[in-house]
Amino acid sequence: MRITRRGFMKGGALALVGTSTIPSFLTRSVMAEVTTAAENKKKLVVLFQRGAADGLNIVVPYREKNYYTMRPSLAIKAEQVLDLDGFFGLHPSMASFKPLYEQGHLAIVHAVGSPDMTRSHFDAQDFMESGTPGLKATPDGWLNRALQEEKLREESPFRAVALGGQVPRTLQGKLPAIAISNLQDFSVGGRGPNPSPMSNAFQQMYADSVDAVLHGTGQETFEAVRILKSADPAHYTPANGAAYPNTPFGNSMKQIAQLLKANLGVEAAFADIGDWDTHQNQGNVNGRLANRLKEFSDSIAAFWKDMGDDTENITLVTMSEFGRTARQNGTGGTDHGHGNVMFVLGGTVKGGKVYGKWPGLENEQLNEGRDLAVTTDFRRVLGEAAYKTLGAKDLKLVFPNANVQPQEFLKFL
Amino acid sequence: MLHSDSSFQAVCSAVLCGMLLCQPLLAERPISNKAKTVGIIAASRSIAASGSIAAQDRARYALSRFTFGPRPGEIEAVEKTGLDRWFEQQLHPDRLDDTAMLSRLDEYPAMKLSTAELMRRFPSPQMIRVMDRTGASLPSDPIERAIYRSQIEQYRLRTAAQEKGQNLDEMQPQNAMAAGEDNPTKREARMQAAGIAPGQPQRLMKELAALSPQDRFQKILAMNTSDLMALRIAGQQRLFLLVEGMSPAQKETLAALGGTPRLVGAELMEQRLIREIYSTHQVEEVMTNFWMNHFNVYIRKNAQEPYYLPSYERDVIRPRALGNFEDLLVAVARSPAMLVYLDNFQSTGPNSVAAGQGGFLRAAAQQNAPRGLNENYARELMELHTLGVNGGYTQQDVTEVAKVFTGWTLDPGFRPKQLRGALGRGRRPQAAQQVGMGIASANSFAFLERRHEPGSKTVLGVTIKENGEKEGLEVLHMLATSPATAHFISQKLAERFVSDHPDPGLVDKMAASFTRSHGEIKAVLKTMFDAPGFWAKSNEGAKFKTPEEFLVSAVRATGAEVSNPLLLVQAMNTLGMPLYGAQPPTGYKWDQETWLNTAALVNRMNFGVRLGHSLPGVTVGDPSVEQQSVEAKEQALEKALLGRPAGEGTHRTVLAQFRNPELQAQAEKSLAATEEQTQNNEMAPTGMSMRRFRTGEAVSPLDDQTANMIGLLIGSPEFQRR
Repeated sequence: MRITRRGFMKGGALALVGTSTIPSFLTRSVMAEVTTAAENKKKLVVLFQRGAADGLNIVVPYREKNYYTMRPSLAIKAEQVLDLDGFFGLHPSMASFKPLYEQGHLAIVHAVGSPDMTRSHFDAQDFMESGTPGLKATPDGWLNRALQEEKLREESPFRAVALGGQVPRTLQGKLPAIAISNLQDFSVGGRGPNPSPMSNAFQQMYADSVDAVLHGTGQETFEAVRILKSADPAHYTPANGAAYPNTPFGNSMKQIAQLLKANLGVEAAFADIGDWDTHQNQGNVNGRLANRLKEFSDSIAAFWKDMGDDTENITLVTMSEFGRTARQNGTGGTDHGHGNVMFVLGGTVKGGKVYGKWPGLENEQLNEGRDLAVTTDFRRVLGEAAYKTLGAKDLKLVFPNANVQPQEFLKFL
Repeated sequence: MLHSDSSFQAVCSAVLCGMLLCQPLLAERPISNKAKTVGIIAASRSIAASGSIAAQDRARYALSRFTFGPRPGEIEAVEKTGLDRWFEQQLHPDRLDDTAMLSRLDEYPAMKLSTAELMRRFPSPQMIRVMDRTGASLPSDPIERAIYRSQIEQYRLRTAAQEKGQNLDEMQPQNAMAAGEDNPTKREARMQAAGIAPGQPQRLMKELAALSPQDRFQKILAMNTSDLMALRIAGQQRLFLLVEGMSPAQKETLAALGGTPRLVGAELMEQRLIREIYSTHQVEEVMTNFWMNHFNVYIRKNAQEPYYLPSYERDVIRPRALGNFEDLLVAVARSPAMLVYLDNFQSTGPNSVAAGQGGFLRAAAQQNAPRGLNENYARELMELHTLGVNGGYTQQDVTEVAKVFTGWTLDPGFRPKQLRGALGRGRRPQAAQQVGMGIASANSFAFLERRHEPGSKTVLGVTIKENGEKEGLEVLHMLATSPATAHFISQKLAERFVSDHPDPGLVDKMAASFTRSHGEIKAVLKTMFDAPGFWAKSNEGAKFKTPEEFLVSAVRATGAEVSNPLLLVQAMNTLGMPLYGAQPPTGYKWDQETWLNTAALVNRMNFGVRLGHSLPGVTVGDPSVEQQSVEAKEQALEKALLGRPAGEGTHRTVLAQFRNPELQAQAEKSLAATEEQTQNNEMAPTGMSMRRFRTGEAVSPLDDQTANMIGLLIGSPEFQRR
């Protein structure tokens, strides 16, 4: 009953050695199809904008006349957007996304969302995180399931990591996931490079516990602490002069970079950023939403810069539970809507393009006469990211009540 | 291991059994068919006998459910009083003496003020902004004057810095939250921006140290912003020495100089922990906690929210925590805290009189005058406050309910007519000032007919005739008395008090009691208490403590003396459950799935170790008293902290810890590191540099061995459950 359950984290890297006898062209083509994330060192970073971000003011359809009619004081003027393709433009406070788009690393999916019509934050987040819209009873999260296919090998306890105090619904499930708010403090009884005596005492105590759940989580805990200590997170300087905003989200992105670079066997990382629920005074070019977007895009851009060449192996995808009403409300904000926008960023992403079918913003084109309609199920986007990045081939397992097929992928990867 | 005198236990069980047998008779007064009732009792007794909690464990179990965990000697005290009687007392807390706890609250004078008084004495940033723009004159009271002056100076400094692209803003709560570290370079930049000369801090500290408390207070009060900031920078951990000998009101005033919303927020959080730790009204506190979470309001919603929350908790929630649900629901609906949190204060009927009016008021008020519908409150009212997420309402119902509640808002403190008059006479600046002040200090409920959507509405198939404010009351009554609400609230209560997956039969029983009693919360709790399903053996230890339950129960179990809960407030952030810090209207969850994970265990073990050695402001005594042998001491600690013997593994480890001298030396070292890491980690939502005025240094009265044993037991698997 001692700590042998999870052995060595580098199992993934070692497994690659076995492929050296295969001709390299075959390795490339075959491996690209069949290997899993650990083996090809690919990583998926998932970011959740909690509170329903206003997609129509993030990637602005600035050619839509009705956009300006419906948002007299909130709309971003055509000459103020950062033009993407002559129809859509980025909110001006997302200037740090512009070069990523132009270099072809950043793809955008618009009018994307859930088939479920709920306008409850709670439900919509729940559905998006479980990956099963309409089903409340789903016990686990889609990202956890996406990692469940490979379980024969000895694994790293860091395969699934969330930045923050709690493991989010997205990562809950059979595969043990870790939530960390601050890498340096992930240690019992002091930060030193070796476990403290108190740490050893606690480890013994949990190893001997008859409480099965706490026994298990206890073992995972001490294994994780040991591995993270060996990576020395206390000494970290972002590369390439990357400057992260000094905010919780900025710090989350910085720590994800730290974790990925430390080769701990991370395959999926999750972070979230709140305060998108702009019912009042959301502002236009400046203001509440603008500030949020600047922090959001600057943090992600800093992460990109920091990761340097490693970005080849990274796919980053962003989501928010639903969009906001196409019309502004009476309090200088927007209410709960439907369709929204997602960003996909990565070294192998076919970016520089806005994907998805645009439903239009004329009154009769709106969902229930009030919201941007959904033309792309969010699971087609997440499914493609999981399939191609994590090697999650069993999409029925990841999204049980959806018919997500590779032939329906948007092919941004 | 021998843990207790078994013959004594036998006697106790006999007494308890006797009491429990008559319990159903006391609980359910048979109205008609006596014979039938007796039959039911007999049946339920036999069920209870098979899988129910042993008699000698019932007091401990009850305390683990209805309190924030037993304090030393409390299990025995409850056994002595008798479980039923104790519970009755708890349901009627007015008769329980709580003066010891109340006198501890004297440390927080601001928490006794009305919202209006609180806003006047400790002006919000919004108020300061308006005052700065309009050049309003300062209050004449010298203390208030000093507070206003410091806030205006800081506001100007901050604005000037922002214009230069610097971020001096350590005043904003979000910012303190965000600042992961406080590095020297930034501190220097801040010093420079604030015009602090090198050596100035040290000089000030020296000067002040020589003065009497009274003179020191006056001197600090008269300081300019640069000196104040210098003082904070100089003092760091020694600032608490400066306030020695001052009254709570004086300490509070000095703390307010460092930022008013921060002071209010800090006192709010501290008083909350003091109540949970020390109040004898434990069921009332647990239920206050429950409703504060059920009717969640996020303290950082905006700069006004910290001002509304003290009254929300004190005047709206706590007095009704054991009262009537509809009464509570109505009071919440009318509370400024909720009106602001869920935006209803701005919601305006699209066809209302106000919607048809122009924008000059808006200009005067320097904010967007509300002119439309906002559905936020309407939705959460049904989904989270009453019916539950599958409560059978539609988007159409949400919109209709939103219309019903248009006009439920805050009293802005002025009447448009008055104002137009003032404007008409060409006194715009003064009028604007009045409006600005009015909005910044709006603090009570008002129904504004002119914002109300005219016409009848249809909610859940029922027509609500046009009837002004009464429409809202009609809808609240409808929702409060719906069977879906009875079930939803009962389910949530059972999840809090019984287990993550409570027996549906128990929940149904509670829901029936809810309906029968027209939402009397006491009756529902009593039904739960009396139900055999509550006492099922499988419920023991079924609940994984939330961070708050963990922290408060640890402080209670150790019998700690808390002179300053600041570090406990901060620990709540590290543990992942900041007080008043749940952003979504759902509040925090109660289940194991949410709270049990590797990082949580790391944090809890670390908290245990730190608490065992006492924190600044939190002194842990020795619950094992004067035990001589190591074994006896260890056993006494187990009994004190866990209420019963620990598991074999925990027992062995704690004992081994005691016998290993090498461990002791190293534990000291690692503890120093943890200490340092806490100081650097300014995660507190309220920053509170000035609050350090009130923090001392940790002086543990315990030897390291005992401290470590306490730490290990608090971090043990057994202590994580209740």
